[in-house]
Amino acid sequence: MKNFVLLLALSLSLSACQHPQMAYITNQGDNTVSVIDTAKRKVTHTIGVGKAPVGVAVSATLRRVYITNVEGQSISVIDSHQQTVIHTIKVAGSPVGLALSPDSKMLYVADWYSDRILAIDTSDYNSKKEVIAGKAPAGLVVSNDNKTLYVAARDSNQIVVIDTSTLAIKQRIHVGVHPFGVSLSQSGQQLYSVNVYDNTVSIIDLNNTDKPPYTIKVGEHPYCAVTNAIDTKLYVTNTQDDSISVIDLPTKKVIATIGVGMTPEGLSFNQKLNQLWVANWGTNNVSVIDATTNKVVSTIKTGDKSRAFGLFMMP
Amino acid sequence: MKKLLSIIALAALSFNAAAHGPSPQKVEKTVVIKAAPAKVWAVVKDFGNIHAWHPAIASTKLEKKGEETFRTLTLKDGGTIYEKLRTADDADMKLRYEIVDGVAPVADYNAFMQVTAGPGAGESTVTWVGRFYRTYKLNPPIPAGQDDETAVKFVTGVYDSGLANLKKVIENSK
Repeated sequence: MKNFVLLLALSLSLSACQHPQMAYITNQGDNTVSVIDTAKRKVTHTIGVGKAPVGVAVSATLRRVYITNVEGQSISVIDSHQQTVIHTIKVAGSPVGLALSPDSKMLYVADWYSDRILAIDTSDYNSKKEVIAGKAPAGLVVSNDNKTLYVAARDSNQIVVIDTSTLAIKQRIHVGVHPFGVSLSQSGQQLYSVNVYDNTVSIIDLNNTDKPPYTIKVGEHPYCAVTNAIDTKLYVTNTQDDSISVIDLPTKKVIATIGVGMTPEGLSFNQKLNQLWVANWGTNNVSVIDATTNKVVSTIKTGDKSRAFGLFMMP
Repeated sequence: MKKLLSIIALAALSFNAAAHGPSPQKVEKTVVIKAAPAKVWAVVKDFGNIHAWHPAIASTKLEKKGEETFRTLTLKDGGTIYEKLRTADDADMKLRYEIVDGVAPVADYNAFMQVTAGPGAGESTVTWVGRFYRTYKLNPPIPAGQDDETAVKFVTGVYDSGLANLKKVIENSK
């Protein structure tokens, strides 16, 4: 047993060496995904996907990356070791946001114009269920305990709370105007809704969802938010200010604004490197920010119109 | 350009508050003008006077509503476009504005014009960048005239003809 554990530890560390940590950035304009080695800050692969890729979700368990091609009406499935597309799932609609359940068994997809959420079994892509959630669903996220799916219904100004076992709608939480990105704290206790038209973030206490959300003003046309590893900071992309708002979560105040590339959209936090990674749609690149100093330490050229809507950092 | 504007005016597409499309489009154009940045910026920031240099625009009506500034562009081919000034930043020499309503075949359009010094001494570079969506707001098939191509072509036409004439007007005014 002891030997087995040692062997296992060895093979795990070996596999960690063989497969450096990668970021997957969707490029809407040239229908590709840029794969970036996060330690080297270099694009190692450029993968052709469907038309106008937007959303991204990664699974270390399955070694898969899922990409929504909104104008191509499909989802590309990438093998994260081979860095190639191994499957394309047809979606009769306009898939935008997507998220995996924590156990990677279910893939949830937001279909923009049809107001529906698709639940796709990752072991059988033909097994799809759906629910009509709210107008223009965009970002979505699954609770840490796998039981609840939260969907930003953009044109309903709501976060729709869905029971993952039945796909029944349990609650509708009113947030700011036009919520787009939605994310969870690491603890799973707080939900953040980024509201594009009124330049706010709504903080929802998941232990008491009947309480009205706490609202914080950020920059112009914010899109997405993500916390750091220890839930002390929340970072928000302000698409029309070309900046990131840094919110101190204990005091719920904006404490810094960091200039990045033009029209920043998706962002993810790299826990190992303590860095914030931001995809800039307007300048076709990624800004890497040191989370200790709040300074941009690197700018990496990607493809045309980088969006990376979702958690794009392979853990 | 002229023909395009007529078609658009006929189609009389209007904006509404419903969802825009899922894929934003971008047009980015630049021109180098042989004039000092301060001189070029004075022309660019003059929100109520775009007809002085844009060849497709017949007249501009400037309006103040409280703190906010709007303009109505009357196009030479007919039709109007109603725009809101977001910011005119003298330090960055950057003008930000958005389309509120009108005949342009775009949705959720916002743009900026920025003046920078160079590349040569006594020269300025004007950058004009727009972000917008097609007008069609349903799943494919997308009808002609409401697609991304139409929206991009329209904005490209506006920027190309505008910047070329901005250069001409400023360089000839010495």
